[in-house]
Amino acid sequence: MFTGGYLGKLLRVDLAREHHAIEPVPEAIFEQYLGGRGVAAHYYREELGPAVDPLSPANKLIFFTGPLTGLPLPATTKFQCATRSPETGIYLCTNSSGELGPYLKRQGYDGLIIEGQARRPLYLAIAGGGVEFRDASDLVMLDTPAAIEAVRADGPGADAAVMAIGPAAYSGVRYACIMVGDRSFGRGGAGRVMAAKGLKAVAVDRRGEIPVADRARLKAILPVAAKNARETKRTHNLFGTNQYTEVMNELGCYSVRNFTTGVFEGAATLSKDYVTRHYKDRSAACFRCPVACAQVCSVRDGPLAGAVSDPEYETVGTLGGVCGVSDFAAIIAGNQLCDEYGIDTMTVGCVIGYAMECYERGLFTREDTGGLEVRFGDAAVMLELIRRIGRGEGFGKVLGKGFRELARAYPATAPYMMHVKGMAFAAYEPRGFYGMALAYGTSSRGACHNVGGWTIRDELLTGDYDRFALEGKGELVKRLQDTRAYIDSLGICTVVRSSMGFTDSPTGDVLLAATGVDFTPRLMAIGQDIIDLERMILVREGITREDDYLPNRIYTEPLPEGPARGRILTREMYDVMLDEYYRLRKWDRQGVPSGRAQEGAREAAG
Amino acid sequence: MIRVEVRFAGLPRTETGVKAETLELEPDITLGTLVERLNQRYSWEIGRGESQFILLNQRGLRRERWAHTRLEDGDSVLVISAIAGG
Repeated sequence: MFTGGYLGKLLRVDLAREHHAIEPVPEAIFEQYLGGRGVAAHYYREELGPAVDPLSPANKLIFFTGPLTGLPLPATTKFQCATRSPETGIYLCTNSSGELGPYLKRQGYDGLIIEGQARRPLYLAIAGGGVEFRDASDLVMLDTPAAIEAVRADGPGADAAVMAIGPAAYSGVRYACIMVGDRSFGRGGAGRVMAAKGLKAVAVDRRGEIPVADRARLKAILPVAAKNARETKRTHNLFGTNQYTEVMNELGCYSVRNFTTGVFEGAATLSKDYVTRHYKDRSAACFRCPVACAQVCSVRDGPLAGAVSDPEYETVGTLGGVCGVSDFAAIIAGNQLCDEYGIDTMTVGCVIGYAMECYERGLFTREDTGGLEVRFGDAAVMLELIRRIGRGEGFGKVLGKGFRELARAYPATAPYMMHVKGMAFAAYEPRGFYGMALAYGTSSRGACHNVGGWTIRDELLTGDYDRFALEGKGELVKRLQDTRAYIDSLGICTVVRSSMGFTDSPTGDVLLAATGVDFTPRLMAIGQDIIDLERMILVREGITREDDYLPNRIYTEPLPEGPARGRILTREMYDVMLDEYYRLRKWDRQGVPSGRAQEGAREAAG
Repeated sequence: MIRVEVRFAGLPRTETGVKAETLELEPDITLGTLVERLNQRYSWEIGRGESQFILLNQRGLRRERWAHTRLEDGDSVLVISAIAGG
């Protein structure tokens, strides 16, 4: 019996009928899948059949918070979304920081399921536990900051949390994101789904209380956890995630010129020290975060003067490294454009990098590109392509389709698309550390360093693994994925999780204090159940072992320079890791959960 | 004497102000001794906290092995910082 952390209710919104209903969420579902990503996957499996078109009214946006979302602890900011992805055509889990998840819980709901298709442009105003369906006709083509401001002015309160989509979602960009204030549901195109539903924004009033099982104990935990987070994540505060740029480059694992090499000669002007000296204004924090890892940067002079944004490592690695662009001012401007149009920076960087390589190889011509010379290293072209993608113009309309659709339209260019299951790579070169290749391959949403498992610490640094070895990588990636799955279901940010004992050997009494139930000893098992559940969904949607492979470049082209020079990962080598991974997960050789795993997932899904 | 290249990345590069240097060292020196000398040289504690790592010839090496790892001519030592996330 939960006495805090959960509300036990979800809000279901039918856009076509402009109707909402409040439904109970059985405790058994939380006990099995915790919250957030796990519970969203459960509802996805129950409610979305395998034939649902991502852009049809039958698709749903399933948002869920976790038991810790919104509680007075460090960085309890996360909430999750599950939907059918227009970028990949399959199940998508994506998460965001921001105030909206915490405020949704204050309104009395663990989750929000949005279904159907509006008959007029709408935004939702959630306050007092109820929902108003408000006309958004005048807001549709506003960029995301303007839309959020307009909704705040008109909505449930000036301090409401707002998530909104930008023009890219309406221009057909299949990797359009949902902006949640200045954070986002970035990957997989949830923003495009929202546009197809005719929903511009959701605003949630900030007022309300979230029950806690043992408030006095939580109050005692908070200062200790916050101090620990501040001290251990000092470099995150100083430099943010972009601190990894020079590290990855030193190791020959950086994402350079569409993954043709792992060393970037322009990395010095993307490095944390250079950025701090020339561009950084301040560190910024998400909801209740003592770390403040966002690095707000601005361009102070030159043609891009006035641009302001906070590029993360992945954005720097894709708009920068993948495109061969070393001008950090252009990355600040590109990141800002993406935020305004509502575009996933990672996919757009990889798509533009692919276009640059194809142009240089003669597979795209100036006729295709609308007169642009689309070459690596050209910052102005990179920015212009983001604009055209965001507006759905000419070659931008083409690139907005994402890799899955592009492969059908331009099959000769398919070898240069760096993706798994339709989702573009993150900014790590998988030939430089083989565990990352397996992480990309087996991540449930396609190539991803978070859902797939961030192997860098274990594989490159600790000495526990040889980064070019195959044995043990299945175990490593499984452990990281199981950990991440339960973290994503708690409602906290991964940067601070260890300050509260949430590691691959979970400890502490945070969950007991929050919910009244001590989940802690079961967390890794719950993570494993969530991964099994997601795999069952993917199998139902037609995913097989063949979909767990990387692009052929990784298997056939050795890295040409740097510390990983000559390294290659053949399919046969990859199979060794994949077989180990499947075996440990108790999946069969085709990647289908079998035996206990399958029974567990089926039983848990009801 | 042996020659060993020492490179810094991440926070160690910021703290030392050095990207790379080549040191001439006596034969049989261990990685642990080298780290002690670098700490004195830069008045800064390399390997402090769990977020700092040393790679010897691109291979990570747990700190408990530093004292027992003998350096050889041509070795490359990379001092690096990383914290979970990314």
